Amino acid sequence: MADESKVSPDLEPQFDRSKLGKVLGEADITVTEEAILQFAEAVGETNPRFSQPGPDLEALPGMLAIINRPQARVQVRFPFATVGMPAGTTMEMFESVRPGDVLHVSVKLADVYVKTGRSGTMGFVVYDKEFVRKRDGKLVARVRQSSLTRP
Amino acid sequence: MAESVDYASLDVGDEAPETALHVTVEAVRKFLKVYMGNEGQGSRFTDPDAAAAEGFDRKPVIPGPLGFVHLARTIVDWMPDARIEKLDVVYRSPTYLNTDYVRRAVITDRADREGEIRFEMDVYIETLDGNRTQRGAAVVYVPRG
Repeated sequence: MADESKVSPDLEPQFDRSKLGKVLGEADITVTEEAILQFAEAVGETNPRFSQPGPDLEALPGMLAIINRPQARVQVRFPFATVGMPAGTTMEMFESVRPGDVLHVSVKLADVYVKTGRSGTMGFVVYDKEFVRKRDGKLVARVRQSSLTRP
Repeated sequence: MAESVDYASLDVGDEAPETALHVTVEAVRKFLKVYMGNEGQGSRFTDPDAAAAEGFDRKPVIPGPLGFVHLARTIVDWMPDARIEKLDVVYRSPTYLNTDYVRRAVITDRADREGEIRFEMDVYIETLDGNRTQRGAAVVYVPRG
C-alpha cells in the first residue's frame, strides 16, 4: 500500500476507504473454444497452440488480462484529474486456460494513491483480479491493473 | 513465428528476432469488440479528434491492454512452447495507430531446472528511433532438450 502521509490535503483522493482490500464483485466465466479463437484472431496470433481448434488449444497468455468482468469499480475522485488511462498490467499465470474451463473471477480494490514526479501529479487506482478454476479450485491467474489520472 | 528454437542455446543477452508492429484502426476495432463489446466509436482509440481532446497527438492511441497482449505475443512468437509465468508491463507513453514500431525481447537471466529452463526477459515496444512506449519484464519457462 502506498504511503499517503505526504500528500497535500488538496490532492487527497476521495473514495469510500472501507472498500480497500475488499472483494467488490465476483463472476463465473466459461471459456469457450470460440472465445479463444476469436481473441487469437483479433490480435493476429497464428501459433497453432493458441489458434487451431482441437484438444491442444489453449488461451493466448494475456487473454485473462483483458477480461473486464465483473465490472466492479469504486468511484475515486482525484481533485486534479481530467484525463484517465491505463498505467500498467501485471499478470501471473499458474495454469493454462482451455476451452470448457469455468473460472471464478473476483475483483478487489488494491490501492489508491497520489504520486508527484517529473510528469506532475498523478493519481493511481489499482485493482487485483483472481481467476480460480471451479473444477479443482486451483488458482489459474492473478492480474493487477493500474490506471492513472492526471490534470 | 519461429519454427524451431534450440532453447538450450539461449542465454543472457540473447535477443528475439526483431518484429514489426503496425496497428491499424481495423485491428483496434477487432480487439475492442472482444475487450469491451464495442468497436470504440468516437473514442481516443479510433477517433483522432477524441485523441486530441484528451491531450494526445492527433492520432488515435492503441489501448494499453492491446500492447500488453502484443508483448505476450513477442515472447511466444520467439519461444512457441513458452509458459509465461509472469508479465509485468508499464504503459510509459502513448503507442499510436498507423505508426511503425518494433517489438523486442532480451534475456536477462537463465536458470536450468529439471526438465525446463527458466528465463527472465525484458520486452519492449519501441519506436523506430528507439523510444520505448511500453516496457515489461517477464518470467518464462520452456522445455529443456
